[in-house]
Amino acid sequence: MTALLTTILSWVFTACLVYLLAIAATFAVMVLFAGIENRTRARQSRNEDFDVLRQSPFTIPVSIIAPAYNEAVCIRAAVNSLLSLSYPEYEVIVVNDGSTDGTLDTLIDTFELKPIGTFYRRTLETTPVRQLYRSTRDPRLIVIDKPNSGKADSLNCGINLARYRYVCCVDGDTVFFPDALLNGMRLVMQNPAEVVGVTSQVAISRYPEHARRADGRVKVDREPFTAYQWLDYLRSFMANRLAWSRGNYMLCAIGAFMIWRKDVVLELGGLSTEFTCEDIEFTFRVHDHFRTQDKPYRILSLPDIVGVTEGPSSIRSLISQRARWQRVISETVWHYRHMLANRRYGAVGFIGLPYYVLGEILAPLFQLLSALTIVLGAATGLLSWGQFNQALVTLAFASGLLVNASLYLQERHARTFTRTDLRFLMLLGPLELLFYRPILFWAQAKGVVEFLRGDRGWNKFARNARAAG
Amino acid sequence: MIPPHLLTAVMLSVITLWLISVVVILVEFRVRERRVARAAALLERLTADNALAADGLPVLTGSEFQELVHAGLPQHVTAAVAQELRAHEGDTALLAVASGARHASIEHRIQAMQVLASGRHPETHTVLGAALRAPDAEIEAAALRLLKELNDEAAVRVLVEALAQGTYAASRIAAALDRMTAERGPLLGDLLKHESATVRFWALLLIGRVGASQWAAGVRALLTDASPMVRRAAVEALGRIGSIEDRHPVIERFFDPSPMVRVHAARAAAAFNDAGVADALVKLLSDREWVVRAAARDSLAMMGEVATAAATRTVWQGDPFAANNAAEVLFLTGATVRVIERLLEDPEDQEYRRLVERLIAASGPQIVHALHGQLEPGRQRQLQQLLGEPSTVAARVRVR
Repeated sequence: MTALLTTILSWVFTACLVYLLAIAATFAVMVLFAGIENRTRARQSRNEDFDVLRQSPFTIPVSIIAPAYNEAVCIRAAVNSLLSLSYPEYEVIVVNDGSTDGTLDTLIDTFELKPIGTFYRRTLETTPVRQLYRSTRDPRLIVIDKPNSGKADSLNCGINLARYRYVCCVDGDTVFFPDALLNGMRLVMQNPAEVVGVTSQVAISRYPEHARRADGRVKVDREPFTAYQWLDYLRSFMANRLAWSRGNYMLCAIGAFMIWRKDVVLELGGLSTEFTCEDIEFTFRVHDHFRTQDKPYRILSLPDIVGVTEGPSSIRSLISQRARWQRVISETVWHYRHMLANRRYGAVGFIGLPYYVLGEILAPLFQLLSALTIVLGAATGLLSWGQFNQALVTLAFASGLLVNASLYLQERHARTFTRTDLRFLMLLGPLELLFYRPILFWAQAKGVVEFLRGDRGWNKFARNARAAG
Repeated sequence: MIPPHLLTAVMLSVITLWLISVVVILVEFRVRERRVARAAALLERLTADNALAADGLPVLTGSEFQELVHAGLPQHVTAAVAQELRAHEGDTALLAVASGARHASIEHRIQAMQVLASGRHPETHTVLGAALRAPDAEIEAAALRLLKELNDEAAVRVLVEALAQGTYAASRIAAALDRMTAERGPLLGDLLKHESATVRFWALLLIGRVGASQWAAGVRALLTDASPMVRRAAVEALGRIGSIEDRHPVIERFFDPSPMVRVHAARAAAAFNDAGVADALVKLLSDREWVVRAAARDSLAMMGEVATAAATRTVWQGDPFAANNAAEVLFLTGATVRVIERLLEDPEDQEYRRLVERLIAASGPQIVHALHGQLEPGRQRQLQQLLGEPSTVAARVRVR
């Protein structure tokens, strides 16, 4: 019996070790490519003539679409930040998705909205609109009021009304920095024929409206729970998406900030309401479309922090949010499984999708197996407690190493942190395995179960208590 | 399961790597903060009133110089410092690096280009023109920026040639040309005959922007170009540089098959501010594309009083789109409030009563909310007493 257990444990342990080494090697390679991409983007940013872009009438105009569902506490700051963007021509379309917390009233009062009667063509099929409003304070702001129908439908509703050739889909709870749109659009303007989509990273804070320092650096929320969430985002952008962008297999533009060429969105029938979230699925669909048609295209992820969004403030809400992400990844990868290892899809099929399968979908399984093997191995004496501790410490510092790589790349791109913030974040890195990873593991496992059960709920988390606006 | 010494070695290696990464990050942070502080101090010193007269200019590296230029070093100081750097580095070496003849990193090539441009080396334009065709986007972007900063006729010539040859993004070149103040008009005319529709498009937009009216005949000829993109730009340019006689060819574009041409024709028409144009423009208020209707509405609103008669007639149309847009024009120009005030002065006037009812029906009952701020609350109540609830009025006077 003991011999059999030993054999099983050895095999499982070996499988986990191979998995772990493969993931570590993947991350190492991705960091390398992300470094090259980061260096290119930083150099481009330094040599860019932002003054011309900021003032030129030839800078491509953009329609910003911000769906909002129960965002009364942060909508004022979010919309104010959108109206303060440093960009020559754009419009802001806020879609009130049937909020029940007074979001629309806040918008009406703050921006002095007046009802307008615009008849427009419903190019994308959406829920009927109740009323359109235009701000008398700033005519660039249009608000659509409609019954609750989800984020994808709200975005489609906004796209129907968008006047410009590019749409920038954002979240109604994110406070943007003045150069957000300029940073996002500058690469589009270099090659509008090929660049069809752009995304960029956002930071996390409990209070996004106060998250920027006077010198332009971003304040790091000193609550470790929130700081870990930002580190997670940072790693995902600086170590993953930049590398994906380099190889043109960027598979997830984030819902908080994604720019798309409108003709592509319309050609593909808009954002899908069939999936839990719209962002990742649409990115996959764009890849599918262009690779099938064999047309040149680029979807880019930039290293610039374009704004700050609010993260969940409790473990329960974080689990709920991350479980949803895991679910939508599973839904999307399953739906587009025909792309996996398919020559027609190139890097998307051979690198992007396998990464999602191994690094995201199977992660909870291997994490569970690793934990069980180590504990069982230690309990049965196959692994000494000393080795158990050594394995834990190794994993903790390996995780910290990845955090440091992301911080390094971020600082190389732009002055983002103060020295104290940097030290704080670097110290948090190795402790992530103990305090943050278990939560993510649980959320991912929950997400997979929800996917298997066919759940589709959004599970929006409650905002931090503060005065509206 | 794992040899103990291997696990220990792996653990120690990972911890060591982590420690090294911490040290690298902190050292790099410190070095950069010092560099930023030094740049700030240098900038302060060089922007002082007597910077050039004081005890000589500091010896800067290429990267420091570039950083200071980005930070806003005044033009005359930039030129003086660049001359110093040219003398120090040698023009031959700088030209070799800037032109790519000598192998150098992208940063060094851009720094050399910056020094040559700021130091006004006679070969600069040639070097930057070639850099616009470089395989690296950073070098192209830097060359474009420097040519714009040179802002002389030779730089305009290089950029116009680049536009014609299709090197680098046309929109970016056009944006740079637009921001320059050197004479550009005379060089743009030839582009109107270019075989590429993209080049003709940008040439037209630039001609409109710089007001190069000497090319008006060429612009008129492109109103019927095969490319809708070119027709759209031609009508926009004509709106800017055309004379009153050009209103007829612009009005003809109201019937263009391309909605974007109709949008720009509607916008261009506002410049003529003529009752005849307003009469034609109101027809676009019932266009099948809402962007065209919106453009026509905005132009009519911009025309103000001149458009009132045409918009008022359109309010009576059966097409709810046209009537709604015309009502919005009247609202935006203040005509709605004037009509309501007139009715309240003489509530027995049936003509005005019918008009106000029609306006409410065409705008939708929410017009009353929209009038907040334009009409005193007392007058609003008076209006409601006279006509009834806005929704009742809207239901009674259906726009069909």
